[in-house]
Amino acid sequence: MKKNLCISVDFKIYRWKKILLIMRISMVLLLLNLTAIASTSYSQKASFNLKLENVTLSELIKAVQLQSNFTFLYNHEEIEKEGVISINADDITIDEVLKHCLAGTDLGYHIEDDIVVISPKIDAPVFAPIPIKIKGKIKDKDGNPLPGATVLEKGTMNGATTDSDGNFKLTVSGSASILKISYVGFITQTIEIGNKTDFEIIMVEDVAGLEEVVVTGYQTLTKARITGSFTKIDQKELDRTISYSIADKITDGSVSGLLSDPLGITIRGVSTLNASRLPLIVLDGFPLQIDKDQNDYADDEEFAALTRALESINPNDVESVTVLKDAAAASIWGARAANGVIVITTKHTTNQQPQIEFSSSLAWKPIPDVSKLPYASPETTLELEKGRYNAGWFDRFISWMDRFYYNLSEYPYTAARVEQGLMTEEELFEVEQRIGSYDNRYDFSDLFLRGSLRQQYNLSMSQNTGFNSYRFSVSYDKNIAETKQTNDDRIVLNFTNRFKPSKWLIAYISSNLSLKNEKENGLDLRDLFYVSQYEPFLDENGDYTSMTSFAISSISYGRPFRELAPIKTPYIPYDWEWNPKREFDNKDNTIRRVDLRLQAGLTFKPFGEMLKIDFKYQYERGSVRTDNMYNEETWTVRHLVNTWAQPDGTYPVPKGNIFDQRYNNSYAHDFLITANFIKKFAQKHEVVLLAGMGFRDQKSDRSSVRRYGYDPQSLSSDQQMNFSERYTRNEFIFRGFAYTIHTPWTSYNNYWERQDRYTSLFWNASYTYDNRYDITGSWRLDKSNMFGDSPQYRQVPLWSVGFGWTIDKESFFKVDFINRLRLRVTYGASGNVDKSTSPYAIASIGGSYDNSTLQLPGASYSNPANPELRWEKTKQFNLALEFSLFNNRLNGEIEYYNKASEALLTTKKINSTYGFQTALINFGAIRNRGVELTLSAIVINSPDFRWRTQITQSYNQNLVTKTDRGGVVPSVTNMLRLDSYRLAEGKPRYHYLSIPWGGLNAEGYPTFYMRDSLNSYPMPTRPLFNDAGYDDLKYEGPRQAPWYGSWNNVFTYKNWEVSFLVSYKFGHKYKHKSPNDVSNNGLYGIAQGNFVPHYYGDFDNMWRKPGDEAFTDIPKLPFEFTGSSGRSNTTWYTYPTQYGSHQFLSAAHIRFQRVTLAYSLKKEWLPKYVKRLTFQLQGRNLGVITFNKYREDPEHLPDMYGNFILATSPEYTFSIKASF
Amino acid sequence: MKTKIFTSLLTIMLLTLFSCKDFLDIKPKGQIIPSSTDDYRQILDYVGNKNSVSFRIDVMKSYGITDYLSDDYQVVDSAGYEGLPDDRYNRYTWAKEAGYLVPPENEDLDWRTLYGQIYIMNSAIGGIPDATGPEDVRNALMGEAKVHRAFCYLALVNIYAKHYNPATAATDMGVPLHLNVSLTASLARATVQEVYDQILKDLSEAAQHLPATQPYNFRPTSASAYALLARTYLYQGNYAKVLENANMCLSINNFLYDLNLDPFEDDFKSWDDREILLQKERPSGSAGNTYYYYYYQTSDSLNVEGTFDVNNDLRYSLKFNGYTYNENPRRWKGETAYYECVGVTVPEVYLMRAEANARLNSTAEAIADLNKLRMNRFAPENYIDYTNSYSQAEVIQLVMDERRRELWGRGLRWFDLKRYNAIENANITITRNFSGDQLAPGDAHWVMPIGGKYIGLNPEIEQNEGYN
Repeated sequence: MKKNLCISVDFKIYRWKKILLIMRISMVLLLLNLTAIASTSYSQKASFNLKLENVTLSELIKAVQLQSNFTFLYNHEEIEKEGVISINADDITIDEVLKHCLAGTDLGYHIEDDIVVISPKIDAPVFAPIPIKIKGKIKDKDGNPLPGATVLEKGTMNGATTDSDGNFKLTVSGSASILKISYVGFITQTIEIGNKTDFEIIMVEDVAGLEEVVVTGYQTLTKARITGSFTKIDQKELDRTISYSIADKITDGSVSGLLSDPLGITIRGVSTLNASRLPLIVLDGFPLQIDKDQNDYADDEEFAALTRALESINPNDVESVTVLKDAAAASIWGARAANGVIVITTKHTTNQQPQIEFSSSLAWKPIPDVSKLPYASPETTLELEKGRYNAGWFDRFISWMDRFYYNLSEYPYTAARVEQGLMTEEELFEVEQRIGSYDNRYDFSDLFLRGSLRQQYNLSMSQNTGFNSYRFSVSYDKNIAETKQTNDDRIVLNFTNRFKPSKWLIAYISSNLSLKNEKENGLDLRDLFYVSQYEPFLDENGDYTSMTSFAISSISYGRPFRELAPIKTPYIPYDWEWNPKREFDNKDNTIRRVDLRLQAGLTFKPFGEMLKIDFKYQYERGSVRTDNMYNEETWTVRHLVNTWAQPDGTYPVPKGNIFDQRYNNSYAHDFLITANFIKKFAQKHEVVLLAGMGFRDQKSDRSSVRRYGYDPQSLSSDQQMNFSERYTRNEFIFRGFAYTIHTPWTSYNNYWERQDRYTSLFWNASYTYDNRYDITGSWRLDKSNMFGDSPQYRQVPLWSVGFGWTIDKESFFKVDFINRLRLRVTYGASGNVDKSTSPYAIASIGGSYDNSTLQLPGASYSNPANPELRWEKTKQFNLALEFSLFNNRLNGEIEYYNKASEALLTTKKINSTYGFQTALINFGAIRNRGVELTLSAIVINSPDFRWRTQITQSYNQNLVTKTDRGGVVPSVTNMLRLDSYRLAEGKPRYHYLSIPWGGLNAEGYPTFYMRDSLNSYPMPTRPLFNDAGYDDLKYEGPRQAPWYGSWNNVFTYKNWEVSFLVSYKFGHKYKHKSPNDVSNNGLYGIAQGNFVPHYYGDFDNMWRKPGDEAFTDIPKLPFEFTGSSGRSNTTWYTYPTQYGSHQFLSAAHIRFQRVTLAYSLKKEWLPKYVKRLTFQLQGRNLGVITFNKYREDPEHLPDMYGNFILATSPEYTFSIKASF
Repeated sequence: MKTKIFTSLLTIMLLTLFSCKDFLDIKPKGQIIPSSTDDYRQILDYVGNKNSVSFRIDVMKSYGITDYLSDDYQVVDSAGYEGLPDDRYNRYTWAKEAGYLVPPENEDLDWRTLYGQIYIMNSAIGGIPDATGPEDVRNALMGEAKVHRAFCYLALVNIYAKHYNPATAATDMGVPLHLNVSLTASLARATVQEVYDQILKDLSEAAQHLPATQPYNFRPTSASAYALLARTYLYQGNYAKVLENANMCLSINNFLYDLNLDPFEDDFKSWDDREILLQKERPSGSAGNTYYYYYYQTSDSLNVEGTFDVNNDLRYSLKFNGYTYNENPRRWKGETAYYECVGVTVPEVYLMRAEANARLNSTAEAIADLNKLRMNRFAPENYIDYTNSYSQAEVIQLVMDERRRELWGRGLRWFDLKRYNAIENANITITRNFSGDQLAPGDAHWVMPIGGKYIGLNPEIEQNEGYN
């Protein structure tokens, strides 16, 4: 039987909703061959004026359509069978029209929403033993009536739909009957009639149901039709996390296949060696510009840039986040999609009434707990300082003490001065007393730290009148950081307006403006790191003390320098003392960020819904301005002016304030044209085609300027500085060589810019046969200005194919408890770009002879020519099974993938004889395999109490399958220390190696196994060093978790909702910090007399006497080594202690991400104009269960910098949310 | 109406397609893909930022090892000798103890720097013929690149291979002769003869096209090409050719500073030095896991004071005064020790001409050149001309002594010692003051080993005798 189904749909904002409805209804009609008995639809009071004579039914329908929004579904043949009709009536309703026209035909009708279905009448079943009349009301969980819901008597064709108040009436065949209630977007329910005749039915929203849609950034696809791998976080779930940044809502572990760990965000495993590992972020259809510094792929830097970029979005504006994981999902993004894509869409509205929402939240974090810092006890500190001094390890610097700078902390300084007879024993005793009993972190906490507080206010208003729809939101955040004097505030404004001037044209504009001001005048825990632990910040009178400063660069400024410089070089204008409190009191740093996104678009629909052409343009602009004002009290000014002050009393660097300003600017223009074609043929065939092209032009620049002798009032600064003259610097700082003051100047005065352009051409097609089979394909071509001329390298097309099979739609499939069963298979390729290289030899400009004097441009090759350069390519196979069981109460999805990344750019060592030591070559390969499981269930579903739970479990096996190892073996020490040297075929990209640990020997020295023989410190370094290779080290395991997942629960009781999220990671290792790898505490540094501001806590457990080796793995400090050669021979002490196999422990952990308690006020308690009022109480970051003996959080390891304290502090949030 | 709009939209779409190529046709800022003579001008002017301490390869950095190897440099005391870092220790001991200069996982900075510069020159020599720009400019740039390349190969072949011996040069292993930008070509070592032939070919081609003067002394001139030709022939023992090319060079530039006039202001800049025909300096900085600084070399006072007329020779006070021999000698007053020139200078050309004349028994001409130089190096009241009373052997010795003094700390002494032993059978042995280590003529360690790393990556590179 040939059936032509004609569809004519008018545009509504959410066109897809309608298509879904149509599909659903037609599915019901065509597959179940059923029609519901007509009943009055709530919304259709609209009236018509019809004057038609002897028209066919289809002509009549067209006439009705002209006057209304109705969509008609009918079968042409059946309609054409009927004769002509006439109608002449004013002000009649659709019901009346249809009743009139269909009277005496074999056709009946059914109206749901604004869809009219005309189909042959089917007689109600004759079989009806004791009919019962029932009525009922269908509501959602908030008590809103659901009009137009379908109520069916199960196993019959008897049914009704609800009216505008959600009420229905139905006569059923008997008390044994079962009602089946369905409504778009809600889970279908079945209810036994029993003795009841009045029903109140609460419908549950279907989160993972058929009607769900996913957004690829270019298209909105129904979940039922896709073949690729998508995970969507909907608004409800997003709302459960109250946070400043949308990033927190994505990275909490609840998305299968997305791993967030200290290495960044990884989707389905790391698939590159050198290029960016981060997924592409798409915001409202355009890639978010990640403005990172130059070509810096330093992981932290890029991750930080991504985090910053995400902070320009108001999290309250986000409607959904979709993660695209496989080739079919992501390959539409082509050359940048190999790491997966995260698509963020902002809110739109369908409400016809103006809707106003207000929310406010207050988040609090306790003051950082400095007692968690792993300091050695004061007693141990004294023991170590004394031991080092007596061992003569400070001798070298003591002998230099009166000649030039060196950093000696207070103990060796005082002890040496006593020996020289310049200080008294009493003074030394006093110092010893203090070291042995005092540490300054609690003073630091009192002076500089506090509990942090973050406030957020958000207001939005939206309305959709059909002709026009808008949404406006404003949010304000104020953050009082845990470091005093550090605050920021942020305002995000968002406005979107959609305008539909005609049936075939929609225009929209949208703008997002984010303003952020930061004051960074505090001292955070990192600053504490540089401060010697036993020196107080203030003396008894509350005045600044003169403290030892430790600079990260090789130059540091100890007491001898500070005390001698003013005496020996009396011409310096400022004192040269250093005190953190003084710095704190004089800091003046501000950062101002402005991020603007403007979008405009036009949508043409020249042939109805069949073809849609979109033109979209986005302008993105970001600017950051950083002002650092250093006044004359700051170390920066005093130090710089003093350094260059001349004996004749002149100051080449003038006295007065120094003002640094840095600007970062970026912009991007994006232009996108897409054409979307949808057509159904002969009822069973549906084709969706998307073709498009995009252009992107992005540019960023940075500049920084330093002004000396700056007066903030008159804005004047010293213009007379002589940058070509060479001046001798203070002999206490530098050994007398003359330099121009241009040297310090250049690093603060520079300019950099970069411009990139991209074009892309893509299409995407899907074909559906009979709602059972889906075939999809996509293809994309990316080009860029960077990748040379040659088409061979510019034009690598990336593609995907996919197949979906909805098994439950097959006629042979008859399993009652399975509501849905679908199989998906995809295969395709996506790319990754590393723009730091080119097929040509690229030269970078810069480097004149002496850039202060001879401004001669020069250019140097940064990379050799590589004519074989290709794009990195990742081919992925994905197999998935989706199911829905027991009336959709249990939904799940299991996916398998195999991801082969090849031609990975890797820094391959080449023979320097060719001119380069290394070159980026497409050489490496990585394979990721994995399984992902998502299960969600409604465990309890009673009207009052509901428990929904979702479990995600991901497994990823990541293996490097090809690397350049073999040519030259990196040294053992590099392999132990650095990830970049630990590349081996058959091993994960990130893994750990160790030296097999042999414990401490009876003398307290570390021992270790190398090639099956036990070795110990001290031993000659060279033979082992040269021979040992990768295989001599022990493979410890992956650094990234192969097993990870989450457990998410939502409990609803009446107006209360409690949700909690737990995430976990298993199967990987972490490295425990040893006393030797905290900054310059390494034995070599310790033995060389390096300034150690704090000794690591494990020194408390150091081997001290024979027998201790049974209890501890911390070796003794070999104070008996005095000669420089003995001291320098510390490799086999330090490396086994730091990288022994005993240091690598299971990183498995379970993390309590959040608990949220929400209460919505009962409707009857609210004033009329308030629709909803919800209170939320949330705790985030509530704790972690670990499986290592130190009980430390493997993702935030205790170090002297204290970052781990902030990262692991819980955050408590209270919020109020109101809808009007 | 609808159709019209739709058609025009399609047209717009198609038009944008065609304009696509221009859209992408922007050059990345801050980077260049060399394609014009202007670009290559910048490539050949790349001399880095002098204040930067990180390792770099530019057109000026060359080699630094030879001063460690030669007898001009010693270590101040025995403790210092023992305590030297491995890289410096291996150089002072001519790699005798370790069997290598740098461990196999490390880079040899001299090799790396010289071959790195050769890459720059190969890319220029390969690219300039196709570059846009006037032909004479292209030829001149090509000449510059060839002079730089020849300089590098002359240094390499004299560090890592036996000294040129006419009898065996055709079979003695030289260094890999890499003349293009390939990253995969064979690196088998060419013979010493082949390397010298290439050097002479490059230099004589370059000399024809180079200008006589350049605004900066790191840009080669025809004079520097002739000077390098003279140096190459000197190493080959072809004194007639040395004479010819030294004359050509000095006819273009024979400038000498009179040190009596105290020409070096405190802020004297090396690029203003008119005596320098081609400026080259030592490599320094760190690359990979090798930290490598060629300053803080040391001369001992015995050595220095035995060589110089301490009281009268103005070069002594200029080079060493104010230092405890604990630094490299200076060339200019205000200059720090870091950037000592190891390139080609006018005095060297005078000395080469003098030596050629002396060896060819034109002693009077040799003495004249010596006097011309010495007149500018001594205070007039202390200066006495050499007379023509010396025998040929004495004149040769005078030239050699003057050469050592004038070129002290300029990277040439090691090559001279090799040459004297190889060509003139001078039978010179170097002895280390504190260890007693000796390097006798004929010792395999007169030839430095090739880095194990390079042989590991390209096993076709053969190691020198005495190393493995």
